[in-house]
Amino acid sequence: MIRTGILKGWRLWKLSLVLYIVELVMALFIGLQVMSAIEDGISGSMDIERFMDSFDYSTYHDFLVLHGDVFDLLIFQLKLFIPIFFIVNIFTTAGILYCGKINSSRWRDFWKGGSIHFFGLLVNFILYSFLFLIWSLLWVGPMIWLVPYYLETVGCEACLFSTLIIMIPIYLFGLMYLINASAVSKCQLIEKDISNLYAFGHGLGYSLRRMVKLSGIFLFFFLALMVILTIYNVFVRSLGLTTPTLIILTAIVQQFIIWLRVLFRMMYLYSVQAMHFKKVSNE
Amino acid sequence: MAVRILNLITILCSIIPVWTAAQCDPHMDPPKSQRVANYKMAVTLDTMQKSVTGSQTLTWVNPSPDTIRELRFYMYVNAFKNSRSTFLNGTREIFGRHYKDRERQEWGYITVNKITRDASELTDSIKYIQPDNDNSFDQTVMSVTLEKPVMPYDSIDLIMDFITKLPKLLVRTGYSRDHFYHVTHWFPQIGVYEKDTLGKWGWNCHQFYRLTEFYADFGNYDVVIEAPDNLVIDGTGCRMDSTSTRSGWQKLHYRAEDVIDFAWVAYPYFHRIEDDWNGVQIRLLTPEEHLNLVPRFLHAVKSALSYLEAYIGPYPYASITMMDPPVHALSSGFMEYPAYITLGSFRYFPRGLRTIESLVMHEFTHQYFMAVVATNEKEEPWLDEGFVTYFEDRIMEATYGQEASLIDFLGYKISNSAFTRSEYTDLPDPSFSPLAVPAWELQNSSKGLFYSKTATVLKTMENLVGSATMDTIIQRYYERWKFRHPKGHDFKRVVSEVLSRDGKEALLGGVDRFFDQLIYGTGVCDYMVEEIENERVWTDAGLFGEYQNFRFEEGRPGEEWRGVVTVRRLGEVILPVDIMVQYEDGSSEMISWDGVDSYYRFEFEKSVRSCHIDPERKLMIDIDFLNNSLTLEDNKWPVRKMGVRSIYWILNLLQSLAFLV
Repeated sequence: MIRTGILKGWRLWKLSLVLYIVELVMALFIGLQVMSAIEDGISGSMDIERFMDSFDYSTYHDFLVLHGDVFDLLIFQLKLFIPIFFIVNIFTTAGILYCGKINSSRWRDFWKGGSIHFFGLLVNFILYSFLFLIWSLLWVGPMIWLVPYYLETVGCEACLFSTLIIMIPIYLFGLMYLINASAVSKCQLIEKDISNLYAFGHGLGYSLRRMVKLSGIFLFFFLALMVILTIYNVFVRSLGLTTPTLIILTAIVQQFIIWLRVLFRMMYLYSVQAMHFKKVSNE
Repeated sequence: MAVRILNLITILCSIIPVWTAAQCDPHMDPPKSQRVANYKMAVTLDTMQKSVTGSQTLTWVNPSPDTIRELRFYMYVNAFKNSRSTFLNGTREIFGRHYKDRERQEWGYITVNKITRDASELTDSIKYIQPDNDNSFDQTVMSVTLEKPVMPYDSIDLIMDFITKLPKLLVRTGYSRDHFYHVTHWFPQIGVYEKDTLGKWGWNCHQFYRLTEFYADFGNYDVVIEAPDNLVIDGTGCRMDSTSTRSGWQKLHYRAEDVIDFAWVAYPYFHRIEDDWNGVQIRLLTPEEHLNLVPRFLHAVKSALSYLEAYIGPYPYASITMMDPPVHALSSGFMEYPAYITLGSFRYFPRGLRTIESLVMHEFTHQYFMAVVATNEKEEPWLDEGFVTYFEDRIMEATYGQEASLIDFLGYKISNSAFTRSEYTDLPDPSFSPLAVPAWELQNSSKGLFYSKTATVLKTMENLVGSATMDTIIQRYYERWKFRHPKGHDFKRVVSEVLSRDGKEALLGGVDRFFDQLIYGTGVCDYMVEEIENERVWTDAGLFGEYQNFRFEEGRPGEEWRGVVTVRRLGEVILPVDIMVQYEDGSSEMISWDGVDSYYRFEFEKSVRSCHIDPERKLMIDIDFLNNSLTLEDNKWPVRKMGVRSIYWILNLLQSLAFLV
């Protein structure tokens, strides 16, 4: 399945490039404002040079104290942006899965798939967001409560640490299960003309039955991403961003990594789709 | 298992130094202080009642030419008697802990049952007074009227039977679960009879406020503590002997000389680790869970001992006890008492976050500024907390390097002094109060002011006068005032003496002005480069020569350039500053400005590329470093670097959210 997903994703790389560009435009909207805010605030200052060599706390702190209100506006904009991002992403995900289903890389099919399945996937997104929220509250709530309980009442720091070491992976495992279930439901919605509730139930049930395989798919792409990010971090740490050439080089590498993230997500969805399609075909 | 093996190794390593640990001899010969207040106590810790009962014999010497008819005592634990005490009044929470829902046995108090002098009882003359306010509920100051006065320079012996019911731990003193007892400011302690700023003798014995600490006279303490023998007990001074008394009980005899207080702790689950540094006995009490931190504690305290001995003077006491509380008793931490400091830590604190080390260094430095140079922590907290924070910065940076002394974690490096400065500049209004105010006048923001602003002012002073001169100032201040009670003006006098001897007063812009602005005033320091203008110098123009032979010269821009730099003083504080000017031809020049005018234009016969006020950041007290410089060079790369980073992180955030879709 993974092989099929990778091949299909690779064949439709142009789609991933478009998705990446859409996201880049959105990020640039915020990022350029950050640059502009910094430029307006301190670009004439020679202290800003200190940012080139390392992290200078005093410069950074003075900037935040004196010009920090700029970031309030940016955070506000980011909050507005995230719903827009979700809507765009629901559309593009529908388009990607539709192209995967009919094995097409034509734009027309991408737009068609996005238009046809947008509302189905939107409802799916709402249903799973609700589940993500409940799952998070179920675990994060007790985790927050456990901190004072272990420290004040039980007085055992190691117990708290051990408990969190157990709880956090369970929580993350649950998240992984929900992400897989959501992907299966989306595939089901694209493949068959069924109700959202049925797809929702099918996704949860199918992911439970095929937990090992689906987890394998998810972890494969997740670990691949982690390896790439680790290599990138080692690369940045060893080189530093101290000259214009290195800044340009790093920016290019960063964007390549982001594109890879987009591509990996597509490959993951296609892998799940391939696995699910096999099951549907067998039926 | 690995953790257990690590713990075992740590325990073994900590046991080895016990064999070579220094002996603790509290004897000071000759006496270091006037020994005004001397206590001999025999007390019992009642773990059922959570109380300490016993008797003390106070030998007090009248240090004044006055005939004294009234004695005043601190009764600090009464701050926890009810919600109307001056300490608790007006708040439901102390350090985030709600206290009003406490049960009866969770409140604390101290009471003197009997007080006698030469067999004559004075108990009936006891009354609680409120010298600072009208709060009659406050019983933190006790007055005892004497039938027979204490003559000038004469001494008096008082025998006092008292009960201290420890409160459930709220802050500093009290009990916590599993029989943790932190017994601090716990006995009837006599106030300080001294001259006020006008030279008039009188009692300095303030009520206990939430934001005030302590102030007491030097003396000897001889304390016998009887307690259940499962408790690990330690505190101020040297343990002279320990014996078993009745079954299951131990009797410990402690002695400390020339100290201003005596504090101790008891807890059954402490590991007691001994080490030594140049003959100073180091005792560390830590719960099992924090044994992994032992090397960090010991390294930090030894670094502090070494640094302070080199730059101030030898540590005068025979021992230092460090108490690292269990996490449920964390609010007993972060404090200083003579030869006894309390810490605060978590088992999993990363090595790169050195707040554990900075805390050890901070509290240990209080042995110099609080325990030995015993300033009034209530009236002039800047003199102890500020000096200690200044030295905390210095020791941290000498030990762990200037750049990343406090934090060296995930690529982020923060120095201790930069963080201290930021605590000051973070204040909502850095000019809200002078430094030299009593602690009780501030409700909040005291840390940013007393600790951080003072340390930043002292760092600025050091940068202006030079490290060697600053060390001379501190050493002279310490030598002159050790085992005494100096005031702020005494420190100022030392600064003035040293600088005038070396002819360096001008480096501060005058000592009086420096102190008036930064210690006694509220102004802020903020210098700014406002503008750089460059223009061609025009050639001469007009009519030259005599009538009929006039020669007309038309003015035009010449080959030479002229640069004008406008600098401003935005704050009220005036300090001399260096200004670095870089010219277009690549040369540079450092000029000095007295910083007096609020606006000044410097003219240069060259084109100026950039200007930097205080390029070496000597004026750490400047609240905005960013406006200290201006360049005409079009260098956008630092901004681009930040932009590139922020775009990358936004894209990563979006990609992570995409998994929800």
